[in-house]
Formats: sequence, C-alpha cells, structure tokens
Amino acid sequence: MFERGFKAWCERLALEKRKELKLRPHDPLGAMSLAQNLGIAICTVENVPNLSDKAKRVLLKEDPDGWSAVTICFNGRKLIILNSAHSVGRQASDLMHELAHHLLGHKQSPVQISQEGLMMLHSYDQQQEAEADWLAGCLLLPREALVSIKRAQVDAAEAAKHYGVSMALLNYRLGVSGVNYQFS
Amino acid sequence: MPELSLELLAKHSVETRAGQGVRETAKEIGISAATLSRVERGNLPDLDTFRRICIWLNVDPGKVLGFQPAAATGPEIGVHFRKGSTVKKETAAALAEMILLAQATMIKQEEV
Repeated sequence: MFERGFKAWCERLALEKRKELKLRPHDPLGAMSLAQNLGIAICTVENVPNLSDKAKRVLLKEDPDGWSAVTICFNGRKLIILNSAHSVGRQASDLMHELAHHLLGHKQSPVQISQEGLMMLHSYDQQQEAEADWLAGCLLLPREALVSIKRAQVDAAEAAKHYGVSMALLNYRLGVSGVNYQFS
Repeated sequence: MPELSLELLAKHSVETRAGQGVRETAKEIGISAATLSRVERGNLPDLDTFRRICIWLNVDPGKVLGFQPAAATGPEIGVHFRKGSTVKKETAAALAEMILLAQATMIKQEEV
C-alpha cells in the first residue's frame, strides 16, 4: 500500500518535529503545538463567523459523525476547522491527520458547490488518506514513545491520556509498530 | 436550474438498474457496491464517483449540478476533508456554507 521507505520516513519525521519543538523522542507531541509551529490556524465550527444555526445543528448534533475536520487553503494560508462534537482525543487525532496531509505535501481537492448549495469534492483519495492516517499515528505515538510506555509498564489508559490519544489508537500503534511483539 | 436534481439521480439509478444487483451494477459503473448503495439512499458521492454514475445513466453531469466554482472571483480554494466516500445531503449543504464563510473570512483578513 505504501511506497518502500514511507513508514521509516514517518518515524524519522516524528522525531525531527519533536527535536524542532525541543521535545525528547518519547515526549507527547501536541497537535495544537505542531499546528502553531507550522503556521496553520485552527478553529471550530462555533468560531466560523455568521454560520447559520441550522448548519451548526447539522454539523454538531444531527450528523457529527459525517465529517471530522476540514482544511481550507487560500493563497498559501491554511485554516483547519475541527469538529467540536468529537472527544478531545478524537479531535487531536483528526487535527494530526490534517497536519499530516500538509507535511506530506498532499494537494487539496478543489471544492465545487452545486446550484442546490451542496459541496462536492473532485475525489476522495484513499491513498492520501491512508498516508495521512499512518503519519498522524507516528507523530502522536512514535516508536520511541511506544517503547517507553512498554519499558516503564505504564497502564494503557494512563498512557493514552498522557499522549492525548484514544485507547484504540494506542493499541493499534503498539500492534503495527511491532512493539507489542518486541515486549511479548 | 439543473434539469435533474441529485435526489432524482438516486431514483434514476434504482430505476435504470431495474432489478439488476447492486454488486453487478457497481462493478459495471466502476465503483464499490457500498458506495452505490449509499448514493441510492440519497447520500452525496465525490465528483469522480458522481461522473461515473452519470456516464452509466447517460446523463450530462453539468445538467444535474450546474456547477459554479466556490471561489469564482478569487484564487482556487482547496480542502482536505476527512469523511467517508459519501456524505448526507444536509451535511454537504452545511459544509458548503461553513467552507464558503470561512473562505470569505480568510479573504477579508488578507485585505486588511
């Protein structure tokens, strides 16, 4: 699915970004801090000026699972709108996913609005989504962090809280990184 | 106004396959069966999927949508959008409103 060397590059990038932010290889990397470091603005649905109550209701109450986050690019500037109906852990993961698209240099899909006022994208690039998911996972939980969790025998729930991620993501990363196997 | 609405597209799809299975039809169109099912339930696909369905239905995509660019007067605006391969119509409308308003704010900030 991924090009040869992609996973190792993601791990290296996760460490480089920590170094830039003066963090240790196993320290948690906050998605908000990284966004700031990259010069990307963040807001939530509630902060979008003049957004109708109906749109807010649909996006946050009626269909909160229909979308996660949107990155808008304009003249080289980027704004990420997060779904505040989701948990803090989910928002961190979604934000990191959007930042991963930026770090990977993925081209945004042009937006089209139909006469009926509906937004459609040109395509949904599954390869780009998979790459962003993988990099986001590495940025939040690089191998060094996973090894550190296992070595110190930190309780999984406590570790997930410390890194600001869901238990599902922690367990997934422990599995796919081979760290679970290494410590079994 | 478009001659064929997105709502009618779903109905048209069900009528055109006339009892043929979703899997078989989806294969013919070149999309997944799950995506075709969601479209037939009124969800909105991405444009590539939409165009494939229009070709299969032998209808002009432009007549259904009557597109206007989101940033007709300014530089092209792009989005990354984390979601599934289809989205509910009401959600697509709310997202369009949110994106256009956020875009307008970014343009205004640039002008200051």
